[in-house]
Amino acid sequence: MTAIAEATLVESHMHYVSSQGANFSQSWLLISQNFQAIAARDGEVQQRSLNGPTARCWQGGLEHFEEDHLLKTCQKVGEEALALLDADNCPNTRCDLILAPDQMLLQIHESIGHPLELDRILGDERNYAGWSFVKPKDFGHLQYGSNLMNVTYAPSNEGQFASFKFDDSGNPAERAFLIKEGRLLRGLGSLESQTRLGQPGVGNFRSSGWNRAPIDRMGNINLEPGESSLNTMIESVESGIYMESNRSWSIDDYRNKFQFGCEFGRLIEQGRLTKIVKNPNYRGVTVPFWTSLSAVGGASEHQAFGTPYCGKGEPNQMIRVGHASPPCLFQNIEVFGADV
Amino acid sequence: MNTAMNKRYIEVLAEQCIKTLMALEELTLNFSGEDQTYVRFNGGHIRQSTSVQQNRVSITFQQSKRRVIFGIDLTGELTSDVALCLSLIERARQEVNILPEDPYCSPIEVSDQSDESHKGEIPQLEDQLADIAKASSHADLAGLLATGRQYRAIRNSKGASHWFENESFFFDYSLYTVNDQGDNKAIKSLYAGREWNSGALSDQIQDNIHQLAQLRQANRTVLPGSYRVFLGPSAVAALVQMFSWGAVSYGAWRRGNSALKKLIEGEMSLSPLFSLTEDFSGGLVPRFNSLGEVANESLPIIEKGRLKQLLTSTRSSREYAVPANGAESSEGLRSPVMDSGTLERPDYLERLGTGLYINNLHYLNWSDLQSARITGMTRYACFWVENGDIVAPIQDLRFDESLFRVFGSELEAVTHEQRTVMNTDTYGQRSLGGSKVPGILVKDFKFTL
Repeated sequence: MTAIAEATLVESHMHYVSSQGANFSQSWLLISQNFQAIAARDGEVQQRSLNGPTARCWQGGLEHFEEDHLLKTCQKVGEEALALLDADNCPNTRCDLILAPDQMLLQIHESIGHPLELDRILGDERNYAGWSFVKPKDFGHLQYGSNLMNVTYAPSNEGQFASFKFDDSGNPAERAFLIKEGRLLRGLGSLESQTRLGQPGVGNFRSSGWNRAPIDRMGNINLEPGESSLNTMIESVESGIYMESNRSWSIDDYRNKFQFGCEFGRLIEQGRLTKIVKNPNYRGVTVPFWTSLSAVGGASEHQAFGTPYCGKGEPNQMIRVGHASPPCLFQNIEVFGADV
Repeated sequence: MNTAMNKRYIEVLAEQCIKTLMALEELTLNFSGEDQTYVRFNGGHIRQSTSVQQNRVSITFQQSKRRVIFGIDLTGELTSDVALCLSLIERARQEVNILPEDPYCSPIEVSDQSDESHKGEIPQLEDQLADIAKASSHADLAGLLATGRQYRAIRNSKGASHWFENESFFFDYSLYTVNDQGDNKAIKSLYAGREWNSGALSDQIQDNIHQLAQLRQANRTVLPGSYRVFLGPSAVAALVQMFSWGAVSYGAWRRGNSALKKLIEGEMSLSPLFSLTEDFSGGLVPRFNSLGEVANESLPIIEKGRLKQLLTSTRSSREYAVPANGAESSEGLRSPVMDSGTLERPDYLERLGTGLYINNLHYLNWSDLQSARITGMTRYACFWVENGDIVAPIQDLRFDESLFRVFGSELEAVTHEQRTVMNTDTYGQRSLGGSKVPGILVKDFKFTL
């Protein structure tokens, strides 16, 4: 067994002055953590981490380093890495799928956040990260997912990784619904893109540093809580899989066809979590996938994560994003394991 | 770039820092910088232009197996840069004492010296832009022009002194059209080098515009399944890049994170047609690493399907008691070259027969590390081919395949022609390097979505 522990603390200050009269300062204390265990036996290797290697990202301080709690949860990580060595592969089938909040972060990021960026819709990103299946005419009309799907741009959530007061054009960053009851309302673009596209947007013009020009970036993009719970969802599933913690991600340049892998899975049989399965993956197409959303966990299960490594732009820029979600249930999804 | 930021400047700055060291203290100064103009295009127009002059130093301070690293942007004004660096060295001196001993922290031992400069012949920016505008007029073009000077330098307290300077450009672009069904279609291209040639650029873009015509036909629907495929050099370069995600890293293998574990441990082999070398002879990237160690000009990694050596850093060398081979701490390939084969250009389509001609792949990631399985998408100009003739473009497909099949059991032929695919990454600063790869013919390649 190999154990890895990492922490990154970034203190960041920005003073913004513009010829239009803006004059403000913002400061952030950013924390990222990785607690990981790699277990190996008889040629089998399995990796498990606490929420995924890059997901534990917040603004805050020592409250995120509470030693007793961390040691206890890290012990579980080690135990699960060992348990995965003895687990069967995730079956290759179509079934119901419950995603934990630490995988929902990736699902939201890739299949909601990026396709809604107005500069992508305008084609700025076509030569690098890609375009978007979303068209300008879709705003106000496209049914992006089931009516349980409520997605916000939430830059003012205290403690979330990509919270800020103003973007890098001095535009106030304010909470707004991007998708309400499954219907697409607005995209992620600041003043410049809003003018170019003639669509409403949000305050999200951001640069990765002094040597890069700002572009439309995600901030905190959150799936709002629903009325279900993880237990209720599990009880409702006759045959399915529960997956936690991202380990693999890939999506096409229009943000349609995706394939994501997780570190840890458990079968759901007759309304109960049963055996652990290793190498759980799933794939789908964005709008049909979100249309299959059939239950959303409640506020008490709403968890915030993020990543410091969202890449985009030419020249390239790496920036931090945050995503909060409760666990969610999707129906009839293609899941599969590893080669055996 | 500030004209003061040259070899002499770095030498003086380093001397000022190194002479303040006390007993048992060691120092490595790792410099990087660029004077680049980045011009972004969309719709055939300039979208954003950024001029970046940046000089950065990473200061590695070591004492008794304890290490502190600070990074800072330099101003180009010597007095203030010396003061800045000395203040960080003093801070490192204080902080290093509170760190536990790192058993794998290597004492600084290298004292090698090297000096490599590649001058370019690059016209003024306005002339480059005029050439692009003239060659691509009326085309729907998106892309990035990066042009200018880059350097890397190392100085350490044992006397190592390295300098690498490169003056070059790349124009990484794509051209767009709409096909008969109303779908967006595109072709991707790269014009890069040290000598700008207006005629060559124009010819290349005109070729691309001509090729766009093939993409205006209606898409051929290709269902998920297994097909014969020809992968062009850009697609092969994307697959070869995955070898740098731990696959050929000694440390990753020992930690259980190498996708080529079964090759390394002799359980599986790759095709005799597949050879991969870390080859610095092209001069795209310095041979010295961030510790100032110089790798051999050529390091065979895989030869005719069999492992020759893994990339081993000094840290892995100490941790696992094996020889190092000048690898960077990340133990990734810096200048990979895949050997060419015998398949000649006129025969590509005929040998493919019926299947898919794939120019580009997109967004690759491991889907199962232990079996070296990769998922990703086809992108840009990809075609359905029947009986050696291009029939129609395809809609993008998702693949899920193992390196052990693509470069192993299913590898049928390798092209004689190789292409240098320059690294176009610009995170933080413009990257150096690139890969030199051929195209490949694969007997059976799995698409899943």
